[in-house]
Amino acid sequence: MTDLGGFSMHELFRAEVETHCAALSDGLIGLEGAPEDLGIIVPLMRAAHSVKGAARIVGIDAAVTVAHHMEDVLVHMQKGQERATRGRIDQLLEGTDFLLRISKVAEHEIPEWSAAHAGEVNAITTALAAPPPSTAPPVPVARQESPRRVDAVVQRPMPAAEAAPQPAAATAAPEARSVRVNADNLDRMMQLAGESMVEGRRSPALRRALAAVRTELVRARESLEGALRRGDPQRIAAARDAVARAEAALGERIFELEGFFRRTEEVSTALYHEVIGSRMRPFREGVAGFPRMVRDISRQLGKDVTLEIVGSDVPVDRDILARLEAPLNHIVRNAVDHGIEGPDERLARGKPAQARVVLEARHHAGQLQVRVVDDGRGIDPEGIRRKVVERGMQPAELAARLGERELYDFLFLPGFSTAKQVTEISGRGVGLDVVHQMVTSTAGTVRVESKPGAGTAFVLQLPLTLSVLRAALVEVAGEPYAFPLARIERVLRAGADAITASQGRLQCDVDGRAVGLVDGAALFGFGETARGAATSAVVLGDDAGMVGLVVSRFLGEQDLVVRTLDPRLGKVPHIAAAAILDNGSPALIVDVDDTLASLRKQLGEGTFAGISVAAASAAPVRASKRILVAEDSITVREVERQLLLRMGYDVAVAVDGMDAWNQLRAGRFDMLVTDIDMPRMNGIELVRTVRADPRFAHLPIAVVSYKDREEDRRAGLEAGANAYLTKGSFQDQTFATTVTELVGAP
Amino acid sequence: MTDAAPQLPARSAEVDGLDALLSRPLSEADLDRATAELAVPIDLREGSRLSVLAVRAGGELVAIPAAEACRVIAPTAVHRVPHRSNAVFLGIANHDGEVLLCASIEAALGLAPRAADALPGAFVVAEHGRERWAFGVDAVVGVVDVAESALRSPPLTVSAARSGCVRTLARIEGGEAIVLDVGALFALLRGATS
Repeated sequence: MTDLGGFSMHELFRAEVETHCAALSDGLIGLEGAPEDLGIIVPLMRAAHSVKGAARIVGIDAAVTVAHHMEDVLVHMQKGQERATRGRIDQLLEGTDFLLRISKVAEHEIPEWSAAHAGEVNAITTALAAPPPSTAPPVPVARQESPRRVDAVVQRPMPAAEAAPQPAAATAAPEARSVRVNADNLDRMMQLAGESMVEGRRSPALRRALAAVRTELVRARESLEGALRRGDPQRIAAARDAVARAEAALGERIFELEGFFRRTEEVSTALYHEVIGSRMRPFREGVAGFPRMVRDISRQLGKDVTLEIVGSDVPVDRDILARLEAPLNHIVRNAVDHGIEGPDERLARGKPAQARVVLEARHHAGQLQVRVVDDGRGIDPEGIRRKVVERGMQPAELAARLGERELYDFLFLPGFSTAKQVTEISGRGVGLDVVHQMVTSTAGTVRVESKPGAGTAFVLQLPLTLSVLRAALVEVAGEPYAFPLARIERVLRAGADAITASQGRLQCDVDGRAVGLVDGAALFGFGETARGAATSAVVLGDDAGMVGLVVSRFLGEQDLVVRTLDPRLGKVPHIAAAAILDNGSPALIVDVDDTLASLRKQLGEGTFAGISVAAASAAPVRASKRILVAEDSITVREVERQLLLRMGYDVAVAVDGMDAWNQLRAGRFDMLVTDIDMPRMNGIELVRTVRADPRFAHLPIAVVSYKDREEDRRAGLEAGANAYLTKGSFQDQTFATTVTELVGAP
Repeated sequence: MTDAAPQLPARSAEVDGLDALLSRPLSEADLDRATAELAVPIDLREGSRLSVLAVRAGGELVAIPAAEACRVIAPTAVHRVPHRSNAVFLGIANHDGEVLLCASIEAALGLAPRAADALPGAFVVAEHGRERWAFGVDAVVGVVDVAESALRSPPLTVSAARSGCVRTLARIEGGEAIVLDVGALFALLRGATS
C-alpha cells in the first residue's frame, strides 16, 4: 500500500505538471500576442510556482530549478522590470517543454535522466537568469486563446465544449475518471448491492401473494352476498369464516410487506452511506510527502525542523483531500522558510534548537478542521500594518485602527507578502491567496492566529464532505433551489407590516439591522417573484452587508447529494451544483459567495436594484391562483405541475390523498386536481372529505385518472368533483381548457 | 496424453429418424419454393440499410440513427438553468439519477415550436461519443430500417435551414423524414449553452 502511495504521488505530479504546462504554453503564446497585458502573467506565475512545489514534493530537483527560474522571469515581467520579448517567450516555452518531458520520465529513471540532462538544465536556467535576449518585442498578433480560455478548458474537460461546430469536436470525449476505493468498502458495497437485488426479487412473490388474498376476499364477499340473499344462517356463518380467513391472510401479507419495505429501506440507506463513505480517504494520504519536504527544506536552510502529523487516520473527502494538498504545501513551506528561526536565533530566544511544525486534522463541530501550527517567530502585525500603508492599501489613520485579525486577513490578498527576501522556497505572496481561494471554493474558512515570538497557526475549517449538503429548499419562479444551510444567515417570512422602505427600496428588519430585499427570480433572469401577503426571503451575507433574496416560498430542509453541474454549461452565474430531490425532481444549488459577489457588484454599478416600492405597489400583491395537484406517480405529477406552471398558475403537489388533505387544510388553494388510485387516501375519499368540509364546498375539483369507464367517471362526479378527465387529456387542450373554465385565468 | 481415438456415442433411434427426415428427396413443390426464395434479390450487404429511431417533432418526422438513440423515457420535469436556459437549451432533467441536459429539437432544427401548454409525449436521449442530450418529442414512431438506396441528400435549402444538422432525408411511413447528423446537432446545442 505504501509503495502504491508513492507511485500515486508521482502520477499526481505528472498530471499536475501536464495541466500547468498546458496553461503555461497557451498563456505564453497569448502573452506573445499581447505583451502589454500584464494580467495574463499572474496565472502563469502561479502555474510555475505550483510546478515547483509539486516537483519539490516528489524530489525532482531539476524541475524545481527550472520552474523557479521561470517564475523569476515571470515575476520580473509582472513587475514591469522586463518585457515579454519573443526571445524570452521562447526561453520560457523551452522551460515548459523541459518540465513536461521530465514529468513523463518513469520515477525510478529520474536520477539517471536528470544527470544525463544536467547540461540542458544548466542551459535553460542560465538563459533565464541572463538579461532578456535583445530581440525586438514581438509584433502583437491576434491571440489564439486568452488565459481565461485556458482556465475554461481546464475546468471543462470535455473538448467538445469548444464552440467549433465540427462534428469531430464531439468525438473527443473526456477521459473516464478512476478513483481508489478501500477494498473493504467495496466488498460491503457489493454485499449490499447483492442484498438489494435479492430484496428486489422478493417483490413479485409478494405481489402474487397479495393478488391471491384479493381473490380470496372477492370470493368470500361473493359467498357472503349469496348467503345473505338466501338467508341461510349456516352459509352466512361459513362465508363469515371465509372473510375472517381472508382478513387474517391479508394481515399476514401486510406484515410481510412492512418487513419488505423496512428491509429495503435499511439496505438502500446502508448502501448510500457506504457509497458516501467510499469517498473518504485517510488524511495521511494527502500529506504523505510532507515530512520529506520539511526535512529537505530545513536542511537546505540550515534549520532543524520536525513535522508532526496528528490525526493521520481522520477520514477526509477525497475531493477535499486533493484540493488541500497545494494550500497545505504552501503553508508548511512558508512556516519552515519564514516562520521558523535559525537554530542560533532560537537558542538565543530560549527555545529548543529543533523547531516543530504540527499538521493536525480532526473532525470538529461537524466540520473538518486542519491546523498548521509552528513554534517559530510568529507574524508581527505591525509589519503587516506598515506594508499595508506602504502599498497604499489603506490610509495610515485607518490602518492604525485595524485589529490583529483584520491585519492577518491581508496576508491572503494576491501578491501580499511580508517576506523580506524572495526565495526559491516561498515568499512571493503567490501561495496564501491560493490557500484562501481553495478554502472559500469549498465553502470553508481560513484564519491566522499568531503570537509574535511564540509561533503561528493557520486554521482551516472545511466541510466534511463535498458530496452531501444540508440545504434549505426554496421555490424561485416555480422551480426548486437549494441554499447550503451553513452559508445562509437565516430564512425569514415577513408580513406586509414588517416590510419598510428606504430611498424607494424595500427592506426588512433582521435583528435590528435593515436588510435590503432583492428579487430572486429577477436575479436569475426569470421575471419577477409574485408576492403574496407575506414575503419569504433567504438572508445572505456577513458583517460586510446582508441582503434578503426574495423567493416564492420555502419548501423545507433536505440532505442533498451534490451533483457537479455538467461541464458543458461552464460556470453558471449564481449556481454551484445540481441535486436530485427526494421526489425525483432536479434542483439547483445556489453558489452563495458568487451570488453575494455578483449582487454587490451589480448593486454597486447600478445594473441591478433592490425591489422598489413602485414595483411592489404596481405589481399585483395577489399571487397567482394556486392549484394543488394530488398524484402518487412522480411522472404524472410533474407533467401536471409543469403544464399548470406554464399556464401561469402557482402549483403545489401532494403525493397522496392524505398529504393533499393536510395541505388543503393548512394552506390557501384555488383548485384541486387529483388522481383516483393513491395510497393512504384515494381520490374518491379525498373528494368526499373535501366536500364534507364547508370551507371547501365551492373549491373547484378536477379528477384526472387513467380509469376511463363510465362508472368510474360517475363515481368521481358523484363524490363531488366538478370535472373528470383521463390522463390522455394532457396531449390535447382538454386539461388546460377544463382548468381555465373551473378556476379562471391564472 | 493418450493416442486412443475418442469413443463416439452410439446413434440413437431419434438421431436416425432425424437423419432420414433431412435426407429425404425433395418434392417438386419444395424445389419450386426454394428456387423462388433464392431468386429474391438479396439486399443485406453490410451498410446497405440504416436503422433509425423515428419520432414526430415540430410537425415533422425526425429520424435519429438507432446507434445514437440511447433510450426513450417518459416525459419528465425540466429545471431551467439561470442565465443559460433559452429557446434551444431548456435545462436539466433527472432520469434514474442521471442529470441530463435537455434541448428543444424543434428550436434547434428550426421546426414549428410546440404550443406553450402542450407537453412532449416522450423524451429521447441521444448519445454521440461520450456526450448525451435529451429532447422532448411529440410521439415516437419506432425503430425503422431504411434502405440506404432510398436515402436522399437534403436540398441545400433544407440543409441550410437546419443548421447543417441534417445528414440525409429518408422515406418513412409514407413521409419524408429528416435523418439527423447527431454530431453536428450536438455541436449546435453546445453553442446554445454558453
